[in-house]
Amino acid sequence: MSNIIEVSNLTRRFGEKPAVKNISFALARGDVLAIIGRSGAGKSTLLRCLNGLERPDTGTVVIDGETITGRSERQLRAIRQRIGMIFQHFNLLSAKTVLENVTLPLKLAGVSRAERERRGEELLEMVGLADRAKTYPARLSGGQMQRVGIARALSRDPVLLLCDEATSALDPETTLSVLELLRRINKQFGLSIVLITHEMNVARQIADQVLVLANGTIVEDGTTQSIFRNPRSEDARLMLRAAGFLPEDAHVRLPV
Amino acid sequence: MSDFPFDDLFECFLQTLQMVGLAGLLSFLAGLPLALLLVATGPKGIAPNKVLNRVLAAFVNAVRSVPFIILLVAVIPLTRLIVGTAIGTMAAVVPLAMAATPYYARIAEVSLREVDAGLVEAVRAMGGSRFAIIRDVLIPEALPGLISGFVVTLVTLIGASAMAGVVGAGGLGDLAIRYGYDEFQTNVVIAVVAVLIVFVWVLQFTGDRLAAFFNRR
Repeated sequence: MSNIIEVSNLTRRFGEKPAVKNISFALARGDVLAIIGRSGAGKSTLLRCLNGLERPDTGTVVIDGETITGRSERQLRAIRQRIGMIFQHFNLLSAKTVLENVTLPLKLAGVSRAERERRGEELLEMVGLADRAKTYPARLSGGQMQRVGIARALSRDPVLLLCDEATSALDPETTLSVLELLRRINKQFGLSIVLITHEMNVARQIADQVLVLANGTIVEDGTTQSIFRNPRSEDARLMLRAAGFLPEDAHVRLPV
Repeated sequence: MSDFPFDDLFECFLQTLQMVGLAGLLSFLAGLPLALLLVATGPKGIAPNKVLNRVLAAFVNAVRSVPFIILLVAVIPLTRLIVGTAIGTMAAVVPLAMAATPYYARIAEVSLREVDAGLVEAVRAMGGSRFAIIRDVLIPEALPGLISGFVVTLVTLIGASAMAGVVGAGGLGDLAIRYGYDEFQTNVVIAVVAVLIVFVWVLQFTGDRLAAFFNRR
């Protein structure tokens, strides 16, 4: 099966300093990729290069067989409609109801109101918020807001879901339930997911593949198991130790 | 009290209402797009354009720097061109709207700028156009501030309209000066001030209620 993401030699500079440099990786269709690294490692910039919110200076990004680098803003808009994105602070529109938030991507695509509402209710059902359709986001808890964000990101049947620190503003229990929801969506629809996080736990719970990013470059790229069992880079070892996975007990905690 | 000019008071109130209402409407219709342009062309806007942004900002600052009494007289040729005459209530609407437009644009700009950049990014990420960002993010999210700012503009217009007597526009301010200052009828001045206090109160109350209604945060 073809890869959902193919990135080669990607560099993005802000001024003189490259935020990410010479990044190459691929993600198999249907897999979950966690990009981990400390703050300032370039995770966020890399993620935004995947849907064209950031324009790389050099290199290519291919999503679902389509090269998205070097496209016009208009072409990028069409591509972005097939890539869902969720955010650390949810980014729900406060002036719109939950249902209006979820169906906004459909409204932008010119879908009729009746069809939007039908689809919106279906999506809210899926994330367990069917009874909150008419409320405003301010009345929801953090976990509920992120569920609305997920429903919104899925409204146009994306080929890829990007998660920008999607659980970093949530407590551990809520984090777990949001990760379970993402995993369920991944299994049920075969949706490929990229998530960036600074928490090793998040990567361990959901990812098939892990990229470790440090100072804008990839220091490690492998399966989740291999990185947790046998981290080869110093950065990965340090982060695992900080998260309590190292030294010797790392393999004990891993599901085999 | 029998010679109290109730008819004059009522007529002047209508003139003030006409000046403030029309100039307010025009300043809203011109000021909001101007504010959107200022925000959109700004360095972090949705259509950054350094040159256009500087030109617009300079224009807004220039008009706002001119004292209203001077603007009132300076735009007489333009007023004559638009209204056909430089005297009367309608003639005062032109300079009032000209002064209020950049004023409202700056107030609206502040509200629009305070909209969380994350919301704009979210709609960009779903493939939304710049028009969609304005329609679905900037205006609805800033609406409470846009309404409160409009009330501030209207109240400022009431004050400015008092000077419009210079071009024979009438209005409450003019009435107060004619009766109170020129003829020492203090009771007329008190009546005018009372009417203005009630007028401003009603505007502020309505605006506050509307802003609260649209604030879902």
